[in-house]
Amino acid sequence: MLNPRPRLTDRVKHRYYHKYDYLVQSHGAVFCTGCGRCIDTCSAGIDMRESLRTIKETAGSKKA
Amino acid sequence: MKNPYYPVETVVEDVIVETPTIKTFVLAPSRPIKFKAGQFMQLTVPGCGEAPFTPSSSPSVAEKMEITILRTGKVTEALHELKPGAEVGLRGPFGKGYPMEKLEGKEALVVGGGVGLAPLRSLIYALLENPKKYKRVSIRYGARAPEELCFRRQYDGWSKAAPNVDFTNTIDVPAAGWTGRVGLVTTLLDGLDLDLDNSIAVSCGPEIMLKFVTLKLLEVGYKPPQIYLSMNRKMSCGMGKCGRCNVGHYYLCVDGPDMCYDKIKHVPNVFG
Repeated sequence: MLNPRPRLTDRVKHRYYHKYDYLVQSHGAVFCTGCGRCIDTCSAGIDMRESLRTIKETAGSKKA
Repeated sequence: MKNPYYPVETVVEDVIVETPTIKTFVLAPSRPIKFKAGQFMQLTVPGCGEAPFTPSSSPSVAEKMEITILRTGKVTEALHELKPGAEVGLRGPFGKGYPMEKLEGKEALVVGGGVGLAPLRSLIYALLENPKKYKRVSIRYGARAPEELCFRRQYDGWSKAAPNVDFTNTIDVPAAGWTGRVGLVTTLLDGLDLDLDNSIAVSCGPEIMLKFVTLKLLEVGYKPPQIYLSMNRKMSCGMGKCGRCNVGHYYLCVDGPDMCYDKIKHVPNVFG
């Protein structure tokens, strides 16, 4: 199946942008329901809340 | 409720060979499909798949539709095997299309690259139908090689359509027997004799070409709101649901596929 975003980095980026940026711009709301299932299931132990905090703290700086 | 995923049954009436890799399909849908220049269709090849294409025919004809297609992937390869009489399906039209109202009274600069001239031909038909509505229509087109120039037989007709219409083309690298211009399509934008403040540029082509055309247009003095780009990525649902065609928070299938550069200039890697 053709993937519209062949690079993993683009897919991860899109996931965050879609929930927390694009739809905030177009619909005025965050599209994460906050169920927490992604945190429970992530086998790499990634907590989206942590990632978002990091993004917020490093926004605008080159360090991210 | 009408199912938006249900295609209109369509018969391939004729297949015109444009270049070794590009064919134009003349399609006869079982009911007329009204579309605006720049809007796109989802074309189904039964048993193979569906892919988005912008018609290359005049938007004032709804009974027939021509779509010009480059052989490049699974669906387009199957399409290129089709013979007249084959059955396909059409969904659409989707998107907003070209900014026709904005072009009125302006000097329109149409910049095409390769098969990118296909959607633009629909725009050219629309512009040339009433050339007096526009101050000027200037068409600049580039292809890799002489045999890859699309719609060759029509260039003369276009440049002679009205006094305010001109057409220039170029090929990327020199070729035997070619006496015309050589150089990338951006070289046709050097020393533009257009009234830039009163002009709108519309471009369609591969993303790499759109990038350099945009940079060139900005360099010669166009402002981002004056530049429209046919992004035409792999739109899938056509209804702003699936998220395949996002450019920033815009969906090309709903807000485009012809986007004003001013709206998307801040998007990182906007040209892929």
